[in-house]
Amino acid sequence: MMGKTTRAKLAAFAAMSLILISCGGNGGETTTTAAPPDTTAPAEPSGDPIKIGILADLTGPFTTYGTSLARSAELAVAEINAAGGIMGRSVELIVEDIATDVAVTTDKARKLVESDKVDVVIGPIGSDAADAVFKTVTQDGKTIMIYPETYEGGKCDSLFFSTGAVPAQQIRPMLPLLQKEYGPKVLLFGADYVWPRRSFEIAKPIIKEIGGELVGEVYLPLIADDFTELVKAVRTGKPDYIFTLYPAIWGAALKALTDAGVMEGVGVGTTFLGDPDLAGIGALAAGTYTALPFFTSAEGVGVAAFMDAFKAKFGADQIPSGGEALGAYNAIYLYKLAVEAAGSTDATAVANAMVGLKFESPTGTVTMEASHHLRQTIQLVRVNAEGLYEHVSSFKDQDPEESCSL
Amino acid sequence: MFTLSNSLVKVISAAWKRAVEIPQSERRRVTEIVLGVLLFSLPFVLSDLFLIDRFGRYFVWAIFAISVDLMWGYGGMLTFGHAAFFGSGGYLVAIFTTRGGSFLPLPLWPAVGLALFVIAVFSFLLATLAFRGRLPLRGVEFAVITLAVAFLLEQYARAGGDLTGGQNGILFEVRLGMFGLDLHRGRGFYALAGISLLIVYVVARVFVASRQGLITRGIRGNEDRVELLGYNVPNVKVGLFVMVAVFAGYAGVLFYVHDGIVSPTAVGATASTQVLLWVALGGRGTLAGPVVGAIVLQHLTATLSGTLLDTWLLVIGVLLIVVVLVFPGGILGHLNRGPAR
Amino acid sequence: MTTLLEVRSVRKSFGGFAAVDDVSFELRSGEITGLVGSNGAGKTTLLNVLYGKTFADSGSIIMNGTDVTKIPAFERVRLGLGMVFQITSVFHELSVTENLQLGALRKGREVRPSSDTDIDAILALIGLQSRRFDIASTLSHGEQQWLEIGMVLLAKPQILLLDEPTSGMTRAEAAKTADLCRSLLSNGTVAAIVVVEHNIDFIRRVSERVLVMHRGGIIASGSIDEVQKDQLVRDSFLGRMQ
Repeated sequence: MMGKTTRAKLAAFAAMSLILISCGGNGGETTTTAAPPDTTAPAEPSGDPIKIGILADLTGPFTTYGTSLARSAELAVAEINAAGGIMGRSVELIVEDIATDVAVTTDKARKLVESDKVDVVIGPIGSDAADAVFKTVTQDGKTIMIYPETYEGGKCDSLFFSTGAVPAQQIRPMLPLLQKEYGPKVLLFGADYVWPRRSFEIAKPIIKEIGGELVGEVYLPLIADDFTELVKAVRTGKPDYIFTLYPAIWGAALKALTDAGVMEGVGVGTTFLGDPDLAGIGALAAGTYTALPFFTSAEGVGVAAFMDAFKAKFGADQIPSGGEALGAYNAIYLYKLAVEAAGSTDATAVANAMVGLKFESPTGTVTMEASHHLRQTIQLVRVNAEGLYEHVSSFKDQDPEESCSL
Repeated sequence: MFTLSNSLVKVISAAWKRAVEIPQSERRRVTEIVLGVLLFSLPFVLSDLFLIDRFGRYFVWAIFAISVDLMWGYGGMLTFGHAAFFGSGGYLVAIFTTRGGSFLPLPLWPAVGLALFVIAVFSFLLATLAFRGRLPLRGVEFAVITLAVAFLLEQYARAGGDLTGGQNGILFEVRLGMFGLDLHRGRGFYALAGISLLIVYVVARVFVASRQGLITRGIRGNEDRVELLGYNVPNVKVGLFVMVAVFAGYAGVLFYVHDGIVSPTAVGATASTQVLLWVALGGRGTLAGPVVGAIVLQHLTATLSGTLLDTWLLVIGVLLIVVVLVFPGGILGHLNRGPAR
Repeated sequence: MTTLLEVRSVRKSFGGFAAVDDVSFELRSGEITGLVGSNGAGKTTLLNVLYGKTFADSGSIIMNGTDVTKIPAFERVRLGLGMVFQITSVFHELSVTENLQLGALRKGREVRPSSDTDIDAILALIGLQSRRFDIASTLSHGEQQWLEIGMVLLAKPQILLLDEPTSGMTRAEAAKTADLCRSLLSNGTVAAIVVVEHNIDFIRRVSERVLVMHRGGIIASGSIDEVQKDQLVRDSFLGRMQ
C-alpha cells in the first residue's frame, strides 16, 4: 500500500501531465487552412464561415471507418478552402466523436444542430446511429443530413441525402457475374436486421430476372455463436454461390462452413466487405466478390490523386478505407456545388439545388438522383489467394433504384 | 515543479486531516447544500439551452447512479447488469407508445406506469430466483448472473424483430411533458430531470436512514451476522433489488424518451459497467458521490470528445488514475470516514 | 429447571464422512455448557447444525418444544437463539451504536439510539459508552468481540451460543468474559449458554457441565474434573485413540 504522501505526489505529477496533454490536444474545430504552396492560389476565403458538422466514430468498434470518414472530409474541406472556399466563404469543419454509441450520437447530433448551428451534418456510420441523427436533423428542419455510408436504403426526407451505396446498385452488377462463373443456384445468408433483409428483398427479383434460382434464405443473429442452421441449409440447398450480408462476424461463419466441407466450388458475393474487413479472414475468403463505391485497389481517373492527397495530408501509411471515405468526400463536394447553385446555405434551397447535381468524384461521375440517393460508380473487387483485393471491374452510373419521391 | 507540488500537497493534507474530524453528518449536509444550490442556479446562470439540456441528461444518469449505489454501495451487491432496467424503461415505454394491439398504444405517463410495473415484476422474479432459491447467489456469482441477464437482454433486443425494432431499435413519437407543459428540451427538461433527481435522492436518503436501510448496510458488511440477528436477509435483498430496478427504469424512461430513440446497447453490458465507474469515482456508498461522479464524468466525456478528438480517451484515463490515487474512496468518499456524528 | 433445548440423535455427514454422528444432549435453563474436543471432533459442525447454517441429515432439534431441525437460521434466532461467531463479526463500517441497533431492531422495533435504554445498558455492560459514535473498525479486537456479544444480547436470546469467545483475548479479557457469562445467567438475561472452547481454564471457570466430542460423537459429559479423569477423554486428547 502506497503511503498517503507518495500517492499525493504521484497524483500531482499526473495532474500536471494531464494539463500538458490537454494543451497539446487537437482541436475539434478545424479551420483547415493547410493549403499546399500554390503560387496561383485564388483569393483567401473570408466572411462568416460555412459550418459543416461531422459525426464520426473516432473511438469504439467503428474507429477505422469513422476516422476514414472524418479525414476524407478534412481533405475535401482543405482542398475547397485552398481553392477559395464556398462562394468566397471559408468552410469550418466541426468534428464530433460518437464512439459507436447511439446515445452519444443523439447528443452530438443535437449539439451540432442546436448549439453549433451547422448548415449540414455528414455521417454517421452505423445505421442505428443514422436513425438517431435522421430524427434529430429532420425534427430541426434547418439542417441537411448527408449519410455517406452503405446502407439498406429507404430513408426519405427532403433534408436527407445519401452518398453511400444502396443495395440495388451493388447487387445488380455483381450477381450476373457470380451466376456466370458459378451457376444459377443462390443461397441468401444475412444477419437478422433491416439492412440484410431489405437487401435480400431487392435481390430476389433481380435473381429471377437473370434466370437464377433461390435455394435458401437464412437469417442469424448479428453475433451468433452457432452456425449449424446455416451449414445445414447450404448442405441441403447445394447453392452454386452464397450471397451474404453478415457484417459483424462473417469470418466465423465462413470458417464454420469451410470446416464443414460444404464450400467446395461454392462462390461468395457480399455487399459489405470493405478494405478494413479482411483482417482476420484473409485467404479463407479467396474468390469472394464484393462491391462498394471505393476500394484502395479501385480504378478510376482520380483515384490515384485522391489516395496521394490523402497520404500527403495524413501520412504515407494512412489510407482512406472503404465506401465511407469516398462517401464523405463526395458529400462535401456535392454540398459545395449545391450551395453555389442555390446561392445560399438555406437548407431547403440547398436541398432543392442538390437534386440532379453531378460531381466528378475520384472514381467517376456521380449524380444525385431525385430520390436523394446517389448514382455512382460501383467497384467490384475479388479476394485473391493471398487474401488481398484485386480490382475486377468498375460499373459506372449505377442507379440506386430508390423510390423516394419528394 | 516538485518542490511546489510537495508544499501544495502538505498544505492540502493538513487541511484534509482537519476536515475529516468534522462529523460525517455535518459534512454530508454541507455537500448536499452546495450541490443543491448548484442544481437550482445552473439554469439561470447558463444561457446555452443545449448545455442546460445536456445537464438534464446528466441528472438522469445521476438517478441511475444512485440506484446502483443503493445496490452496491449500501447493499454490497455488485451488479454488472443494471442497464437491463435502465434500458428496459426506455424500451417498454417505446413499445407501449408506438406498438398497436388491444389497449395499445398508450399515452406517455400511463405507458410509464405500466413499464415500471413490468420492471417491478421482472426484477422481483429475478431477485427471488437469485436470493431465495435453494442456492442463494452471492458476491461474484450474483455479479456474473447480472452480466448474463444484461447480455441476453441485449441479444433479445437485437433479434426481437418488429417488437423491439431489432438492430436499429425504436424511434419515439411521444414527447416528455406533463400538465400541459412541454418538458422535452431545454429548461423544461432540466426541471423535469432535476426534480426527479431531487425526489429520488430524498427517497434514497430516507431509505438509508431507515431501519431497512440499516439492515441493508449490515448485509453489505456481514450477511451472515445479519441473518443471525434474526433478519430475513433474502427478503430484504429482494425488496432492495426491486426498488433500485424501478429507479433505474424510471431514469431510463426519461433518458430515452428525451433522446427520441432506444436501441439494443441501452440494455447491454457496456451501459451497465459504465455506471459502475461513475459510482466508484464519485464515492461508493455516499449517494451524493455517484451523483457527482455521473455528472462530472459524462460532462467531461461529452466535451472532451469534441475538442480533444485524438486524445480525449487518454485524458479521461489519466484523470481517472489521478482521482483514484488522490481519492481512493471516490471524490466524495470522505463522507464515509471520520466520526459518524 | 426447564429443558430449553433437546438434541436427539442428530447426524450430519459430508460425502460419507460423519462429522456429527448420533449426538444427543439436553440444555436446561440456568446452565452453562462447555463443548470441547480436539480439532476435527465435530464441534463446529454441531454448532452449525444447531444454529442453522446447515441442516441435520437425521435426528431432531427441539427448542422450547418447537421442532427447529429444518427451520432457517433467522427463524431460530426469532425463537430465542443467539450466536456469537468464532471470527469476530461486527459491522466494521458502521458505528458502535448502529451495530447495536441492528441487534435491537428485530421485529420492527424502532429504536432511538440516544434514548434507548436497552442500548445504553448494553453499552455500559460492554464498557463502550465513550465510543458510541466511533466506527467499529476503530475498536480493538477485544472491544469488537464484546461489541458482537452486546449486539447478540440486544436481541434477547434465551439460548446463547458462543464459538471460541476467548480466541485472541488476553488473560484479563478472558477472565472478564467468563464473569460476563456467569452474570448473564445469574441475572436472567440469558437462560442457557453453550460455549465451544479450546481454552480449558476458561471452561473450568465458566461451566458446570462439559460435553466432550471426539470423531463426531459425545464421548463424555459431566463436570470438567470428572471428564478430565475419564480415560477415553485423555486418550482422545493425547491422540491415542483412532
